Amino acid sequence: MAEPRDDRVSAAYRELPGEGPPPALDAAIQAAARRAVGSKPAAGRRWQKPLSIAAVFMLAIAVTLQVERHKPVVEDGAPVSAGSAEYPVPQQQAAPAGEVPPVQAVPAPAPKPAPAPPLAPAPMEKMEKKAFAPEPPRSEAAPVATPPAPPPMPAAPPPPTPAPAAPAAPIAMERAASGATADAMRIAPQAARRAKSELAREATTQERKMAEAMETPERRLERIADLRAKGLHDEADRELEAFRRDLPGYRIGEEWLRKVERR
Amino acid sequence: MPETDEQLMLAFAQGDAGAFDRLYARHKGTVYRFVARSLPAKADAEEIFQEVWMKAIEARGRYEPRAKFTTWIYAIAHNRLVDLWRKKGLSVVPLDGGSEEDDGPPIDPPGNPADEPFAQVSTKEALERFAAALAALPPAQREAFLLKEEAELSIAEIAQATGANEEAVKSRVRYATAKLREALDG
Repeated sequence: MAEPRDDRVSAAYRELPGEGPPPALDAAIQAAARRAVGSKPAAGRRWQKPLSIAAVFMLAIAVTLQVERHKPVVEDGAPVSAGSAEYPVPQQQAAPAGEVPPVQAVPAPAPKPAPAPPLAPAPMEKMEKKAFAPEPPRSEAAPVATPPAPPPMPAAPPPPTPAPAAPAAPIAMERAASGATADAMRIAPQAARRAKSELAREATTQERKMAEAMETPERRLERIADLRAKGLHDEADRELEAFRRDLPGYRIGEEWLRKVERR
Repeated sequence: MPETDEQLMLAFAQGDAGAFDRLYARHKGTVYRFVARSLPAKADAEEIFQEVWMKAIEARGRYEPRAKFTTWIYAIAHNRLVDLWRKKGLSVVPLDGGSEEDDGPPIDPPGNPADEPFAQVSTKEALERFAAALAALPPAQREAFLLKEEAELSIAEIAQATGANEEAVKSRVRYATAKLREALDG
C-alpha cells in the first residue's frame, strides 16, 4: 500500500520546537514503575522462595528414603567408630526435643520391641510412591551427586552401619514435616554418604562378578588350583562349584581335575 | 545487541525496573509530543501522558508482544485521548469516525517528492502557520498525521492502534498532509 507522504511537510514538522515531559513527571512515572515492580514482583520471583524451600524439603526426604531402602544391608556392619562419629544426630536431636527419649535410653525391662512410631512408615511409603515412584532406577543409580565422595572402599565387605540409621529417617521426616528444613539438611549429607557407600559396595561386587565372567575358564581353574595348593580347600570347593555352575558344558581335563578337585 | 522495545517490556514485566527506565527514555519524547500536539491545554497533555505510562506499568503483566510495543503504547494513548474528548463534551469533533469528505473539497495528493524543494528551510512565519494548521486539524486527521510523523507508525499500525480501517487512516493522513502543505505555502 502506497503511503501518503510529503517530504516538505515532514521536514516542517521536524522543525517544530521539540517538547518533552517535565523532569518531575519523568521522576514520578519512573518511581511508579519501581514501586510497581518492588511491591508486586512478577510471578517468577514471587515463587522463588517457596520453591527453593520445597526443593530443599524434597531433597531431604529423597535422601532419607534412599537410606531407608538400603537399611537392611547397612545394618550388616559398619565400623562402630564410623557410626559413632557419623551418626550422633538422633540422640542429639531427640534430647532437646524432649518429646520421645531415644530407644537406647529406655531401661531394659520393657519387653516392647521398640517399634517405629506407628504413623511414620505409612506416610513415608505414601510419599515415596507419590513423589519418587516414577524414577526409581535413576534415584538408585545416582541418589545425590552433591555430597563429597566417600573414602575408597576396602577390599573386604564394608563394615556394618550402626543402628541409629533407623531413627534418623523418622526424625528427618518429622522435622522436615514440621518445617525444620535446617535439621533435615544436616541429616541429609550423612544419609547421602551412607547411601552412596552402599551403592559403591554393590558396584564393587558387581564389578567382581563381571570380572569373573570375563575370566577365561583356564584362568579360573588355575586360580582354583592355586587355592587348593595353598590348602584353602573350602574356598577352592566354592570356586569349583561356581565354575561348574557358570560353565555347565565345560569339560575339565584330567590334568586340571587332579589339580582342582579335593583329594 | 540492542534490546528491542518488546524485550524491555517483557523484562519489566519480570521485575526489571531498569528495563522500564530504558524503554521510557526511548519513547517518552515521542509519546509526549503526540499527546501534547493533540491537546490544546498543556495540563491536560501532562495528565494524559502520565496516565498512558501508568496504564502501561499497570498492564505489564498482561503485555504480550503480539504487536509492536509502539503500537500498543499509542493505542493506550489513543484511548485516553478519546476518553478525555468525551469527558469534555467535545464529541462535536469526534476523534473517531467523521467523514473526511465533510472537511472540505478533495485535495490533490502531494506530487512526486523528487520535484519538491523539501530541503528548504521553512521561515518562522511558515512554521507558525504550519503549527496553527496542525492544531486546527480535525482530531482524527491530526492523530493519524502525528502517529505517522511523530511515532513513525505505518498506516497498518496506525489502523491497529486507533481501531480504524487502513483506508480511513490513509485518507486521514492524506487530507492532513494536504492541509498542512497548504499552510506552509501560505
